[in-house]
Amino acid sequence: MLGTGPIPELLPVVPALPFAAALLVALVGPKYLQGRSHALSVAAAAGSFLISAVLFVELLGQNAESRVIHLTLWRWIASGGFETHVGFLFDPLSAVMCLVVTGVGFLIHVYSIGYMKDDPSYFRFFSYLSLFLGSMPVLVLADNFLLLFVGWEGVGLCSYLLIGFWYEKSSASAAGLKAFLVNRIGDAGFLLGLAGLAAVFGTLDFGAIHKAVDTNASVTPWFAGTSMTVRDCFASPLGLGITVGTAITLALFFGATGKSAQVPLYVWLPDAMEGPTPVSALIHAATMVTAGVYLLARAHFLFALTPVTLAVVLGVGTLTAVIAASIAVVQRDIKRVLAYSTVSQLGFMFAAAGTGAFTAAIFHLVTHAFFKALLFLGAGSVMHALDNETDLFRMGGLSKKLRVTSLTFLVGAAALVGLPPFAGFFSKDEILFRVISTTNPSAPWLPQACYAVLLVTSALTAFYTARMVFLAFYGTSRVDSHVAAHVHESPPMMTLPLAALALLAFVGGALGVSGVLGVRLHAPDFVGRFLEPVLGATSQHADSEGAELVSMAAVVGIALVAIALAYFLYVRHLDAPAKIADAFSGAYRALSRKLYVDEVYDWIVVRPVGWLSRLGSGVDRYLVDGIVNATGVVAHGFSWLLGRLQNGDLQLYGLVIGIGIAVILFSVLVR
Amino acid sequence: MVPLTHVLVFGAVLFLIGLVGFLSRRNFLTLFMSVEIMLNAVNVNLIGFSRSLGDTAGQVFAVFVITVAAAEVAVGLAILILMYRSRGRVLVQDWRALRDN
Repeated sequence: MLGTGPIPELLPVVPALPFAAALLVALVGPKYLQGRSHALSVAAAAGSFLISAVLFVELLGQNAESRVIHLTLWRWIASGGFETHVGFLFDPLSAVMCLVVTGVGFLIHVYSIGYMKDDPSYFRFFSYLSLFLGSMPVLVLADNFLLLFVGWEGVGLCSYLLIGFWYEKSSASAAGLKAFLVNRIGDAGFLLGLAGLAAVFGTLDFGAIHKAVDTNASVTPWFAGTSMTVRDCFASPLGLGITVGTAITLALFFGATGKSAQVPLYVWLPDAMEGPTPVSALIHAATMVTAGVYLLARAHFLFALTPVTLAVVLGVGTLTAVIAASIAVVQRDIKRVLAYSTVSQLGFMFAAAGTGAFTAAIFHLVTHAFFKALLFLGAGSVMHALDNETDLFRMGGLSKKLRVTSLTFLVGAAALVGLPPFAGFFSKDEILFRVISTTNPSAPWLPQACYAVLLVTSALTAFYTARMVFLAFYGTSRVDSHVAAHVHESPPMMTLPLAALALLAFVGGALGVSGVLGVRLHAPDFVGRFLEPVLGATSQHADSEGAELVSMAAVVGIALVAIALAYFLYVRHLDAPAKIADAFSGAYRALSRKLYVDEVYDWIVVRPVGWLSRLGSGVDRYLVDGIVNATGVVAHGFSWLLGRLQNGDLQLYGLVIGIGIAVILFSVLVR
Repeated sequence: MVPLTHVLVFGAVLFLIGLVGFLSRRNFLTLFMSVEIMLNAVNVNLIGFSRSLGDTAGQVFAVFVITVAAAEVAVGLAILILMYRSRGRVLVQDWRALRDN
């Protein structure tokens, strides 16, 4: 289904522009551009965003049911019955993702001009940033799983490069390495899932697989040798009580847990805060880490067939949300609070996906991209003002001096807490209500339990967010005196993106007012209706309006209580938190040491792998190399022995020849 | 007519004499002569088979061997004379210097 005119041909330009900018900046940046390196990158980001917007408008102009712009570029792999193309797909889901990625990306590019000013590797930063902004559209615009995986690895590489951007700092390069390696573990699952899909369907094309699932077409999977329908194939047992469909979707979800920092692979994201703050905002809050949610939404038709996997997704998302939120409560580093908050919010998205409410997950992804990017950039602005201070207990009272930053940060915080009418309220409320009103045949008790845990999590969210805001911007100043003397608001290059994101975080929620509020306020659910052709209808629960309102009120009420508590503890009685920490020293220490997860992983994974690799290296060095060297030594010895024979004694040669001929003749004639 | 067996035994004895001479003597000229004896032992065999099979090819072959042997002796004697000029003797152990290290 091709659009008219040159529109489909615009699709590859979206990633191509930043790629070109990345290459140019890398090539001519160090010599000619230097301090002007941002020009190319920012222009490319703006271009990508504009093209995405043009494509979006084109999409809106089409019939709601047939909103697809598809372009196949060339055949990539053809091997036996398996074929993959390089092609781009612009449907409502890709459109939303692409707009968020390029839009927020553009704002963060602008912000970086101010934030990274005077960095000695200015050009390198913008080259990497553009590389990321090219890879991410490849991920979201790919029309098949394999090309998606290419983008997936591309953004992973950029994440590694940018976390370790200040590689002179050993903690930064270690954090980059950790992010890369942990992501590899998830990617192994992703690849297994892709192999499973290819083996069942013989293709990795989204459209083809979706069609096969919808029509329950007959396929010839690898394990059967005969053809069977998709549903039968997915229900075939694979052992250990796991069916084929469950195994494939679980493998895909495992890949998502790596990229999107979910239990058990979330440990890399907090460390990723070693990177420059705009990177944390762009890659580790707004865009890349949501790739896992996008993957689930993209493959929702597979997940819909496997209730067991959905239950796992719901459980893992909820668990991640509550663990990360409780760790965030005791963090002293403003960026780490935000990092754990991101992990926690991603948990909310996965919980939504686990109930099959992919629209709610994507909607929360969008609003989260706005307000979390805003919070990170605000934190960056604070650090900019305070000589890179990140310790919340050495801030305080900044709202008077940093007016724009504190105001926009407040908007972002309100959105994160989920106070009406800020963006987070609508998306988070929708998720919570989806969780309580869902039923999962494989684990009937799970949704209720998860709802309770998520309620606690939203209370924790409100508490740590309020704590962060109060510690940084209100109360008495605890800033070092020599730093306090020159606290200053950031340049407009940084405050303008803040203002733009604050506006989005303020009104973004209006895009997707659904459920009872949508009915009562007569607000059109733009996001839900726009995504409907891809992700299915968002059913209206007319009969449960009361329950939804109660749930909403409960969430907001709990949040307000938590904020009041934070105000009491961190503004009124600043000595109280220390006393509480003393009273519950065990719990406090466990939380502030991040529940010892890193230590446990160190013991059960890192060290055994270290032992194994030392063993392997020993085997290689002494056994394998020994055999190889022994071959050489033996050959050398033999040649020495034979060399002794060749001593120039003509008659010895003659004797040997004679004996040789005699032996040959004897063996030929006598036998 | 001489039976083939006699001819072959004669050839074998002649060959062995040549072989033993080649392996045991020290003088290079004697070695040369031993090699010639072995060649001619082969010639005897060729002619013996040629006669008993009634095929003249063997005799033609013997003539070829004699021709080649003559050429070989010409080269060999030239080397021998050079050897004598440089060393003053033609003992086989002096040739060890030509070995491949």
